[in-house]
Amino acid sequence: MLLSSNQPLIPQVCHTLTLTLTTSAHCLPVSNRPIMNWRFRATLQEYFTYQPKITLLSSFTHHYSQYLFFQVCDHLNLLEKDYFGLSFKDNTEQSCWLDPTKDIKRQIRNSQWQFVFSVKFYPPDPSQLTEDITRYLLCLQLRQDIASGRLPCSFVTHALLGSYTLQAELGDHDPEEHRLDYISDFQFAPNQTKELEEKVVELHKSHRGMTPAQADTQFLENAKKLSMYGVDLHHAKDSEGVDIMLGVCANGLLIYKDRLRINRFAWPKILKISYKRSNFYIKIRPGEAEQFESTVGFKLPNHRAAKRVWKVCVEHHTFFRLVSTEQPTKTKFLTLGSKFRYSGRTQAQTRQASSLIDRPTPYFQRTSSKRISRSLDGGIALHLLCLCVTGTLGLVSNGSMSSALLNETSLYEIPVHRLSLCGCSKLRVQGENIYVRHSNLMLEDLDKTQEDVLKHQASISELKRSFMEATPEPRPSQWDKRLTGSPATSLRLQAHGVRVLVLGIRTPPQTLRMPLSLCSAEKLVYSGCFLLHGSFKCGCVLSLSCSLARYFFKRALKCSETKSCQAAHNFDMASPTLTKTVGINAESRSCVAVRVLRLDGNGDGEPGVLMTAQTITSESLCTTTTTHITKTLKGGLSETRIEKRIVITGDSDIDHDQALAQAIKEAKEQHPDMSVTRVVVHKETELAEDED
Amino acid sequence: MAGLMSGFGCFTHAVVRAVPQSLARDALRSGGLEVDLLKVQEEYEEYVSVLKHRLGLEVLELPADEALPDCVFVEDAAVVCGDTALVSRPGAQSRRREAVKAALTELGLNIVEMTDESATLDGGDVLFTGREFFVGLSKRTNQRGAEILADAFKDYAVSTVPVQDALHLKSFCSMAGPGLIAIGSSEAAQKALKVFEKLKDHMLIPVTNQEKAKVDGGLTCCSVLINMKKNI
Repeated sequence: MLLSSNQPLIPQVCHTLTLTLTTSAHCLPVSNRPIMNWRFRATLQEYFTYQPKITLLSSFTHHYSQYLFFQVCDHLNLLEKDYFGLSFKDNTEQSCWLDPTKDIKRQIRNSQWQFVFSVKFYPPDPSQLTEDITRYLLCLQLRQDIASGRLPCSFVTHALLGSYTLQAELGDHDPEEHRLDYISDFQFAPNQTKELEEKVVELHKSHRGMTPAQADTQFLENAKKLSMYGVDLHHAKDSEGVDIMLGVCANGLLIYKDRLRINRFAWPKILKISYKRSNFYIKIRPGEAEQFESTVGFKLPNHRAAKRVWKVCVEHHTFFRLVSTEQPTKTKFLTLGSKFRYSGRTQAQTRQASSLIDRPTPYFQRTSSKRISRSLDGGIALHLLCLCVTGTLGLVSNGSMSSALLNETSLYEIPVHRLSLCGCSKLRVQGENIYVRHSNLMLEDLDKTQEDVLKHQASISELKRSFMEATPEPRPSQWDKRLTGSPATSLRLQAHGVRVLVLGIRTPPQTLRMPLSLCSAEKLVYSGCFLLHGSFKCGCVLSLSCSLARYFFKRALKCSETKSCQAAHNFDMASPTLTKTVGINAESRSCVAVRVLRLDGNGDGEPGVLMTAQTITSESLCTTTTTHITKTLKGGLSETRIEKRIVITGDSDIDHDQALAQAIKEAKEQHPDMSVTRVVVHKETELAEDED
Repeated sequence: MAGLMSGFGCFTHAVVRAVPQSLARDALRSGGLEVDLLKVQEEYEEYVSVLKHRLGLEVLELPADEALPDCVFVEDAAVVCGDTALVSRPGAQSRRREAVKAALTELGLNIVEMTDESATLDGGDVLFTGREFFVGLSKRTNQRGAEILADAFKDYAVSTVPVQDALHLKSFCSMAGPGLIAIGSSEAAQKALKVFEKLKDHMLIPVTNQEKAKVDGGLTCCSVLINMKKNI
């Protein structure tokens, strides 16, 4: 279920602790939802500001886009959202809008998820916007447009708009406080001269008594008249190959050559727009004297650009001209080409909705980012117009994070000690080597025939070798990224704030198993993936929960199809062995943190009939062992399953090897007729948060 | 300028220039008709009187220069919008020295000079609607001139209109009110009309010309209108 933005972002704290080899005790959240932490970084050229962290919860990846956008809007306390959107740069450095109806992962394929919150539809009459805060955000966007040169203006206009900016942000001109250099923080024009600054100050003085909201309104009244206001430009060539610019705006399509507007097609004049290959076509209504429609074609640099222009036109036309968005007609036949339609509200609809807004004017501070450090104590500084959302896979932090707006401190603080993993590229696996030794240990202890052991060892070596031979993946692979967004397993295992290193050894199938389950993991999807790397390095075979295994297996298959990631390659190579262990195999049993899994229901592949259940707890100085014995009847076979949960607390000086070896030894002693089928070691480490 | 469009069509000053004697004989023309200098003088005085007394403009009268027979048509020498004046480079060689720069500087306007020698622009080809510029590409104004105008007035869109069989764009059209262009019925006008029709919401009304039409003068040719409302 998608969380509404009003719900607390982090579920309540978990009471139980199921960890081993921990260095300190933790409480884990109970949520069974995947959690992604998003870092927002405002980048508005010099308006670069702080990096709040907002945590999103969603069970469905295809809602991430929409949800993310809503989260940002909530953070900004913006209700009139329809004029804005999130954009990102694609592989070719072109700006694209994030489609709220589609999965984020499908749209952005870079490793860094950086989104910019900006104005998508510039309202032709900003005075009709209901809230001041909307106008303020529009002003911020325009200030950037002007400063970057995207919105050209005359000297006087630069000065005038600059003076309104000053009035809005600084209030009345104060000769004492405001010397000439007080405005050096601001950028009013791409090339700012002393003369311009002087003019700005002169005009600033004349606005005495104007409130910030009034100054913003005046700013917009002037800005909206600029010829390039709200014009989205695209490079193109006309039918004769001459370089032109295509401009899409609220009124229609504009054609520019050099600095001159050579043509204009108002929306009512345009009958149809289409694109084919790299060409973009518009069909024009015939004039009074003409009989037939005419078609004008433009050549775009490539197919993507043509499609982009087309999309922008569709969106602008729908937003500004239609009363409501049309529903795409369902056709029985295969429709070629894009069925893209603008999915948001039209201007008419948003205006209607806005008229229903009835809340007291939200308080917000207008400060340039450069002064943010000084103004952290008051309200939420709203220079966030362009936010950079960095999709990092953060961990669940425990403790509640209330609505972003209200609790500023919790928003900015990153509870470091609770977060084990910070981000895709920042993941550090510690204690990896430990497990290599453990695996060997386990191999030795197995009650196997020599032949089996050798065979198994051979396959392990093979795995090791294949992994070592493969080139290391320096950055998170496609698979990693895909997995990070996956709902299924993350649902269950991400909630725990602990890093997982799951490894184990599969013995030939037996009816009796004794898994030593020690803990469960967070962020399993991600770490699971890493695990695979790790495990190959260690030459260990994985034993995973049934559903998790299924998931990885599927993913591996998929990856191997695309041949795009290292992990898949390894996974595939190992698959003969892994399939037995991991695959869609009814015999694999879940062993991972029973307690956790229990919350989500039975992790087992199939239900058995529970016959008896027993729990024994024993404690020593620094360990607590909980043994859970269940006898179930499955398919005619009686299966006894013993799960031992051993929690060893202490500081990091614990010899984990020894502790684990000891635990295994004890377990074997207690149950000589059983064999160790699975060892799951979870180590929770506190990692220092990397600073961006 | 309290706003970009405040008071479109409202002006405070007018710059005019007296009629030189040489106009009758040496002024550029397309037709071959004889010109009655006295009548020209009368018309001019009436014109100035209307500007001064009926419209309440402050009229700055520049003296005639006999060496410049067309100097009465000051409109072609400069384009003023807001508080910026673009001192243009008239297309006709004989008119290059008709500088009104000094007078405009005196009025406190920002002066932009068209120094590019490949550019020509006659003010008579520039139609400002209050929202955008239309520049007629004629024998007197070229593309480069239009580009320089676009640079000078960055706030506004500048579109070009081809002008054939007429001297200037404003020979056959002018602004008759906000969002209202009056356009003539001549062939040249109709051709240009097609271009205007591509644009939205401009109403067009046909009108006729006057005596000065004999020397290809139109109503707008004879003045440079300036809005001096000092909100800045």
